Amino acid sequence: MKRRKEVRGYLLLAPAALLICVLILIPTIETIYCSFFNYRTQMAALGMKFIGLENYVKVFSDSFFWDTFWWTIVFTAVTVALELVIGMLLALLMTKKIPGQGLIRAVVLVPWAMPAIVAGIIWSQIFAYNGFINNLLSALPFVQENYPWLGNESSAKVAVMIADIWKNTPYMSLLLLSGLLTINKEYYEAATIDGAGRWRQFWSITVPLVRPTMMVTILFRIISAMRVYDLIVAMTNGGPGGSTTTVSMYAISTYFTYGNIGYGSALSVMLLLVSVVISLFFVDSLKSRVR
Amino acid sequence: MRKAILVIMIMLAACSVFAGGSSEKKDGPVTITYYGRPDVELEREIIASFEAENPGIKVNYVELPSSSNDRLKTIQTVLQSQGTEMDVFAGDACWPAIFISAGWVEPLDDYITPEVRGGYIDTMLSAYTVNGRTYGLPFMADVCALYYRDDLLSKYGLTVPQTYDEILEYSKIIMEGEADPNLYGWGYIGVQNETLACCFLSIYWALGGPDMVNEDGEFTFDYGIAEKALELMRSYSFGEGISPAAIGSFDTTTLRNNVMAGNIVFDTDWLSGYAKYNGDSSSVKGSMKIAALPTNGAIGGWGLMVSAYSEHKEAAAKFALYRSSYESQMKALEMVDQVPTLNVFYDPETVPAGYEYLVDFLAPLSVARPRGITPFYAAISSRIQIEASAVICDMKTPAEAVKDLEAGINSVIG
Repeated sequence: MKRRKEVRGYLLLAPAALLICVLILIPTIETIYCSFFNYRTQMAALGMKFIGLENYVKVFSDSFFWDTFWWTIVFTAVTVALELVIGMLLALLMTKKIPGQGLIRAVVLVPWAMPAIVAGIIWSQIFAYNGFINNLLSALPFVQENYPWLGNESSAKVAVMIADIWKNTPYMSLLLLSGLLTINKEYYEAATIDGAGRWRQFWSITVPLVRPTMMVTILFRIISAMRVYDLIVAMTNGGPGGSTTTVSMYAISTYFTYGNIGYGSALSVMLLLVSVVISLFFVDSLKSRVR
Repeated sequence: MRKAILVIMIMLAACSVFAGGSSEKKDGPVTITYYGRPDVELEREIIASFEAENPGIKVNYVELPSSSNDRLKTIQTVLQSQGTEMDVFAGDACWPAIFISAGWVEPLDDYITPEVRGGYIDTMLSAYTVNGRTYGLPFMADVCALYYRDDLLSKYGLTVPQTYDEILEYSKIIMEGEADPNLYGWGYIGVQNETLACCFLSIYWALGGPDMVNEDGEFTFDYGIAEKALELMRSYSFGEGISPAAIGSFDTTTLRNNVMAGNIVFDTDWLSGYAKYNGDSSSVKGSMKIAALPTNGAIGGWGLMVSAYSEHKEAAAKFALYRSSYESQMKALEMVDQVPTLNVFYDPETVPAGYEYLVDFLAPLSVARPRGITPFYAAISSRIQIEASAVICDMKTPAEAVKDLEAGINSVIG
């Protein structure tokens, strides 16, 4: 009987496992495989030439890769940190019983539900030379000229981070809200009786109890922030001067647009490795907490 | 449980039967698959009239995505896998070298008569010609052109500038004369994208820069001249001030809005700018004229190519010829304003009624120059875009940018 149950379990898992294999595992293995070859569409007739780790050696000496790498890290760290703080504030607000609570929860989701490319186009128009922000600022008496928000390295970087925070905070806050709703109210009542203030309650009850949800949410956001692509492509196309190009943008254009499949694969694998290391760190910290 | 598994297996079997069914060949009409631009109504109409004229051929139309990069990805993915599911496709004028070097496209010389060949504007056909063989038929023309405010030029007794020095000189005369703080001499699309690379190349050519690759396939790009071109772009923005200092943030919409508001005397833009500049919402309607850029402008536009893996090459070539014929191009002009590639549209004697403005397009079209007939063009251009953007956004000096450009290009072609 027990065996039959086990078999049934595996059978039920099979479709999902098959799907993951076909859609994720095989392409990943193929990408890793391709990264050891000199393989370019321009020389498709010559086929693939095995070159060992040469592509990886090239990655390490590629200064543009390092520019995109550090920018991706900064982008991820800043956006996820701010999304966490703002998302937590929104989630705490959404737990309050107020009229129209359901509607508010639904409306908050709109930016997240919007395709990234559409959000990118909207924000590029907001920051455009004749865009919304410059029009608003020109009403001020001391503003003489329009500012090129997307034509300056630092302001372009800030602009794409603002757009990403706007787009992804709802996702963060909704997952955090689901965590907050599972916390038993009695803890707070007991704490109040014991004389603990709001601030103390937040750090001693809310944070520890919402922590598992929070860690998973942060992990999801880090992984997706590291892969950011369409939002930035639509806003700056990686400019000015390549300063907002992320690793995934560089990898995708190397692979598809430049037709350098070997090197593009190596760049993707680098991104994969970083994501895996970060994920392992988070999964590990989750495990130790659960214990 | 067993039953459930049985049902699933039957369903899977049924799926495979349906999937396999389509690959079975029957006698009857040949079906070719055409990956075309997403002008659905236009393409469907052209296909319908092609099928009416050629009862033996059916055309299956697949819409390409809306962005040019995604289109390249789609086409490249099919060709890379040597797929037979695509027979003929529409390709950007700067792609042929990629496909030709990979051996993915069929030469069309055997299918075109000298009359057909002579019908095209020479420069438009040149984008699809490598080593004397023609691999594509252009059906939509485009080029970077120089637009100018005719009213202001005549007011100051100036003629159309023939060099970038003259653009600078005339801009200064007009800016001083008008004394309007919002008026700039020269504008272009300065955000980091392909058009910026095209604008850079036009300046590079005007300063005497050679083609990226010579006839023997050697890389002959001149970094010294590239540096001079970047210096020119930088000085026009920062020293001379005839271009806005914010030009690096000007996308197509921003540039065109500023031209239409009458804030720009000269500008480098594609042919599609003409209708906007002279449209009803433009304050310079009727006075924004078009001319050739100094020396050369970069070729744009689209052409049809036949896949080397097609099982019906003759039918595919027949369709390519039809799609680029006078009849189809006339339809495309009427329905979606596609600029034609045939000489007959530009002759004052034969220009279609209502499209007389096309005659003015001939000058820029006849000095159109391929951006770089090298399979590495996309990668080289992206490096040019990054460095040109860095210079006009005041992030690097031209000397630094050219150093990085050389390193970047070497890593791509090496």
